[in-house]
Amino acid sequence: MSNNRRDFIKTSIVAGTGLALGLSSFQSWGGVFGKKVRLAVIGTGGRGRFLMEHLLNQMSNNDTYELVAICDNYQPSMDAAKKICNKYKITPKTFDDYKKLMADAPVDGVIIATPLYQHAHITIDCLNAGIHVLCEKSMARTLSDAKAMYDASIKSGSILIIGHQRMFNKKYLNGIERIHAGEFGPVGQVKAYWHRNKDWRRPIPEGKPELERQLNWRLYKEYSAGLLTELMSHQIQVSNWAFQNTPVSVQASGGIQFWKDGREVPDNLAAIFTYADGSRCIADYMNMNRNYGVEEHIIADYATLRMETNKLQWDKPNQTVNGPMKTPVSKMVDDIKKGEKKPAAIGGASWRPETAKKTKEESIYEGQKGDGTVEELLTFVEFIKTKSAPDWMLREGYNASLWTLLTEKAIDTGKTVTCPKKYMI
Amino acid sequence: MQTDIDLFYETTMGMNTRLEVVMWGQSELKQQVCFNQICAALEYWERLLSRFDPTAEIYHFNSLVENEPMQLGDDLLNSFIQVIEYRQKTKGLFDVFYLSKNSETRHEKDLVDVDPVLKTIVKKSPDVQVDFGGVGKGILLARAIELLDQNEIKNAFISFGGSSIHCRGIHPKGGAWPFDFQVEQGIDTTLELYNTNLSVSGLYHGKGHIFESGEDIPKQSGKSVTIQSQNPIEAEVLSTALFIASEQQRHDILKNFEIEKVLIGSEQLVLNE
Ligand SMILES: NC(=O)c1ccc[n+]([C@@H]2O[C@H](COP(=O)([O-])OP(=O)(O)OC[C@H]3O[C@@H](n4cnc5c(N)ncnc54)[C@H](O)[C@@H]3O)[C@@H](O)[C@H]2O)c1
Repeated sequence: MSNNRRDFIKTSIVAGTGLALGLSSFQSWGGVFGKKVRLAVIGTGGRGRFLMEHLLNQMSNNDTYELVAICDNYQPSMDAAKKICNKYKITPKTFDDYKKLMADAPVDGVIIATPLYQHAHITIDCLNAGIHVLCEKSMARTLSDAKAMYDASIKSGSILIIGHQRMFNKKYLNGIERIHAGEFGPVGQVKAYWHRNKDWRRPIPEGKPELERQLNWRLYKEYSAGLLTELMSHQIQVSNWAFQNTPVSVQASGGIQFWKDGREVPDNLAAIFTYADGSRCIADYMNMNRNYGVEEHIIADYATLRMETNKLQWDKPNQTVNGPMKTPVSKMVDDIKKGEKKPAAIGGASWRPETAKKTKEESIYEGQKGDGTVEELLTFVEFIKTKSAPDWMLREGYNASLWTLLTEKAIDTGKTVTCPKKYMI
Repeated sequence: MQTDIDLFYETTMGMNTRLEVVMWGQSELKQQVCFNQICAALEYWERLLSRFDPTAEIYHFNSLVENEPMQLGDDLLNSFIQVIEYRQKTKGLFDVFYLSKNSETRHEKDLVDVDPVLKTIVKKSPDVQVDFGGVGKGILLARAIELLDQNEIKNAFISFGGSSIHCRGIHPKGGAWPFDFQVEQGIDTTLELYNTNLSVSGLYHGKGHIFESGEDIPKQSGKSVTIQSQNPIEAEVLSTALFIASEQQRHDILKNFEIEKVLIGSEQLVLNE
């Protein structure tokens, strides 16, 4: 699997510049050469419109795809999406039901950006109809829905990828490739957090309180697992990716501490994932203080990478890249080679306050603009053209979703949770 | 003297920490072979003792239900017998067994039945879990010592995670192997060691399950416990047990062991009183 992963990484780093594509794929798709990849966006809310804008914006450099249809069952979302279409002077077909879209607008691929609980059935129907799908994260509201989506993609042969845009971000691709190559030594911990200071609510149109659950679906357990599915899914994806593995168990705790406004999902939670080799991912989320913001620290023997802010710090400042790590014992060996006898500093606990070490920061990777969303969209188009996607990519989305939902179970039961066999892929 | 000593130094990872091996005075080949054998032993023991590797024996044991006997190979059987004996000798302060439901408290009764004839172990409750974290490094060091002997390596120094040490013979510059370590706030101790094993327990060295021993707990000294012993497994067991023992318990427990030296912080405990 790691080989596939590497191959993709190489390809993906250049994808978006057009270099990854063989000329032949340009010849058969797009522009004057032939038909374009026909795309539709289902769910034109906040995220759907953001994706639409990117797609339309990129069309000035890439004439191999077109947006032929959009679908939303909430009129204000549809109106806002139409405005964007006007701006880009396109007139895709509009639908209020994805089934009508499937019947009346032939498409090669759809981008699904509906609320979490509206992912599975739409995705599965599209895959079974031979339509390739880029579905927003997190994959599904339940374990069985996520598994059904995965199975549908395998069975139908239609491509399914989940919108974890970090997988397409060159900063992440570069950092993770170097981690896998062992440049920083074994990874012991991933420390992830996403702290915000806002209520996470969408305003409800005046006089329409009945829209509360529809618009604020993130806050109700029927539709979403809140911070877990909406934020943590991204970070457990990064953690699994870095470890090239999935956890063996999760322990977690969470609750509503601050925003006691009728919501059902925690506003303060923490989870610990244990991997087979004893390494761990520690992840925490809160909605009442933004001091820490968002970050994934990938902590390896020789270096710490802060993925969100593109920072790399070597733990042994004097060490050359790929050079051996200095330990008290290796220092003693160096002394012996110099003909000296000095005590090796070993054992014992250090009782000094062990404040963080200050070492020089360097960038992981220069030259990534944006968070990877544009690359994600363009790569999806390329996948459709070649009718193939690396299978690790769906697994990554599936496993992120799986462990996100298992974390919810850990919080709800107070127990250490492992993955039931039937959901392992 | 240093020019022709064939100084060997290599390191590997295992049991969640770093193993470092220094050897000298034997042929390059023998030293390399010995290191490779130590690595193989490490892998072997990790396969037996890991709680995290789903293919490991202990992982399997932890997932068993009660009254379901698990067949044991000789090495694991002997290890179980040994650690149960150590539990008795340390008055329960060293214990690899715990109850998952209530892992903070100690348990009074035996949690498992080991049958040395049938070579089986049975849990008495489904919640029984085992964690060899407090002794695994000692077991590996004991095996490494046998391998050093077999390969006729007279001078060596092995550090496992910086807290479990074996040294033999002399330093390449002559004399003992010298170590510096900080045993408590602001106090460094230098030890000069020949042919012995050392295990250090301190707050920064997680040693698996250290249970609180109730009221007897020493008014927190925050001091590390260092055990020097010919037996690396007993050094591990005692550094764990004495770390949480009261002064009286320490003396009672030490009567059951033959130990070379005990340091509580930087102070040497007077033995055999
Ligand atoms: N990758 C990212 O960084 C990222 C960021 C934000 C949101 N998202 C994801 O995007 C998805 C949408 O989030 P959002 O913030 O845009 O939510 P939103 O509520 O703003 O938008 C969802 C839209 O889907 C529409 N919809 C609901 N059910 C539908 C159905 N059956 N058919 C057609 N349309 C339907 C709604 O009317 C709404 O317009 C979620 O899965 C979310 O997790 C991802």
